[in-house]
Amino acid sequence: MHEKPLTISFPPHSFLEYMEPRLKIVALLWWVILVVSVSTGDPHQLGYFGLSAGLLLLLNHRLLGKFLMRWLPSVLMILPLCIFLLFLQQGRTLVQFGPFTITEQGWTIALHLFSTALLCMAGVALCWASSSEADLLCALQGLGMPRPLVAVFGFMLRYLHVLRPELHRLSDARLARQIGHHTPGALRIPAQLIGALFLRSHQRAEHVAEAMAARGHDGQWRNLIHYHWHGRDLLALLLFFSITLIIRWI
Amino acid sequence: MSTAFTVYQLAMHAPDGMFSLPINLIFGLVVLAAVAWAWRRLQLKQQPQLASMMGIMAAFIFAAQMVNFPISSGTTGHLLGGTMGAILLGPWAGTIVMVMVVMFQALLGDGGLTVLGPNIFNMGLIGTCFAYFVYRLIVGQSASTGRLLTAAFFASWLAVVLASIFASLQLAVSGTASLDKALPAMVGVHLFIGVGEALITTAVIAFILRTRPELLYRPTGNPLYSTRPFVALGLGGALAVSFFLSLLPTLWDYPDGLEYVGMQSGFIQEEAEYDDAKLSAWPCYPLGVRLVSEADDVIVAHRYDNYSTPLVEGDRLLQINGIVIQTLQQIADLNLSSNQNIVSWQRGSTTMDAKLGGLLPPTAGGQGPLLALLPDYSVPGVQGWLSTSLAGVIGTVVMFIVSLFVGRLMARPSAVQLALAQLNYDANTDSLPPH
Repeated sequence: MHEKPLTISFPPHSFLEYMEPRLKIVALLWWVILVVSVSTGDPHQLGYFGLSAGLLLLLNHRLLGKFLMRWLPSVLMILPLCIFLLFLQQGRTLVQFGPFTITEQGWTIALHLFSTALLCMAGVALCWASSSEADLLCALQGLGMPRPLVAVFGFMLRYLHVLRPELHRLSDARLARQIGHHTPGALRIPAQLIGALFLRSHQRAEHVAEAMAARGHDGQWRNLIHYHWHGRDLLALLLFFSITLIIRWI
Repeated sequence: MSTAFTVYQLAMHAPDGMFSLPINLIFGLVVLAAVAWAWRRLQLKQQPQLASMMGIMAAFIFAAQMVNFPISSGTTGHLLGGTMGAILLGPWAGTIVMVMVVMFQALLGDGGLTVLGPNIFNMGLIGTCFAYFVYRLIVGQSASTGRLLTAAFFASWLAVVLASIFASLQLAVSGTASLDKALPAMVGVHLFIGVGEALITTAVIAFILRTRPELLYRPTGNPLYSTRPFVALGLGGALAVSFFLSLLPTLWDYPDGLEYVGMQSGFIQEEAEYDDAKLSAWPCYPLGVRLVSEADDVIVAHRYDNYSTPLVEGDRLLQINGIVIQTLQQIADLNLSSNQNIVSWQRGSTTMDAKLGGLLPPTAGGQGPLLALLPDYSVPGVQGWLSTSLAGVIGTVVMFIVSLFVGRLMARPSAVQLALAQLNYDANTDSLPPH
């Protein structure tokens, strides 16, 4: 719980936003490991984990919008994977669609994987919804990630917001010039888009590197926040560990 | 959501819980070792400007993955970018960049946190390390554009196919999917996705070679090895691997995709695997098994695993739809071509029952293909495993020649480029160019 948070909203809306980002990352990793460790034949435990995540979200209901914005896309990604997994197991037949068979084993594994992945993603989404990118970067550095790697990560996050609109501009310009749909050259269009994007990215990277060097940048990622573990942080972490452990071995 | 996209996602962005703990740990350690090695080779601390360069390049790879390309009607894929990243930035910077990209995607919900090791290995390291090594072997010390593009095509295709093979193995070892179903599904789709990836990568490299060739990563320093032995070793190794890998499908008895569809549609007749006349006389396809009568009992003599039946060889049939089975004639009278047959059987001392789906028996007949160079993965005139292996080697060589052809084709300047070169020549010289 730091004094000058770099959170998205200030003053923070919820107690999760008050929490120190390092603590949130440690708690997230703990959560993910515990959820993944639940065995396939134990859906009740996943249900308890789901209930506790729901309760946490209820207590931080102001984050609901941000949470859903990050969580729902992952649901859309995981769902087709799990449907596909239904057909990849041998065993007792449950349903048959022509040559495709859903087996009991496939159903159990797919359902377990779906629940596990959704719970893990709920943790990630809550962490992102309650912290800014800068906060999380500082926390990663605070947790011992090498500074040059944090710097690479930071530059990536920063310039992703620049390059994505650039790509859309290039794409729009390409579409405006394109007359009709040329099937034989269909792959050339994305290739030229990516090529042009690479040239622009490289040019930008060179300029940024020169500008940073001129300002004395030495490749390290620095911030004004210096994290210290307070008693309340450790207490919160301990409480979280205890509750989740009880759920896990209930 | 198309099947191809789903298979692609399954191979590349596996969610939490997809792989078992040992798989996550092993591949996590491999990734850590690779990052440490890349870190050491890059000497990031001594080159501070590299951080911003690599960060922006990571953003570029991330953005490039957003560009979709058509695979077949209604299906699109997106670039993996590992091989392209290594060719453009070098293997070490490419490795770090891909690690960052996959990590960030995991934070956005595209892939899990606990499966970061396998995901980074499949999406990144295979492209930036292994495929790049293949690329370097093919390119050697040559400055030829054609060879460079050929190498880019082959390496990027290989990276995607290898990633799908590794993903299938990881799924099978983790117990998430059975290898005989996952491997054909994954590799079958990725053979085509790989061609898309290879074409895009080659086209991007060709574009950069035409516009800013100096930006392409070229390893500095004198080569530590002569290229030719490595090329010979690489090609020989690839052929040797294909020689033995081709034998893998012969280890199990499942039909491939075409055979399965053919058996379902009736245009391929299943080969009789038992010479015993009483087996072929009593086909019992609705149960997915072939049965024989033995001393007043009906016993499972052969199981077709692709029918997803729990019955195995040696099981003794007790009842079908409540009717006690003692002779094969009773089964024939039941007309089991309909769905939902409730079957009871005895395995050892255990009695089991299940609802089995019905499948129509394949029709007899069928004719051979009009033109097949290597029918059924065998070389005409050669018998046994040697035939299968030779077919694998020929397939590898054909793929290499196709890569060579595509590379040469893309290296050729287009008419527009020739015209532009002529214009530049005209602009830079006072006299007219010779005709």
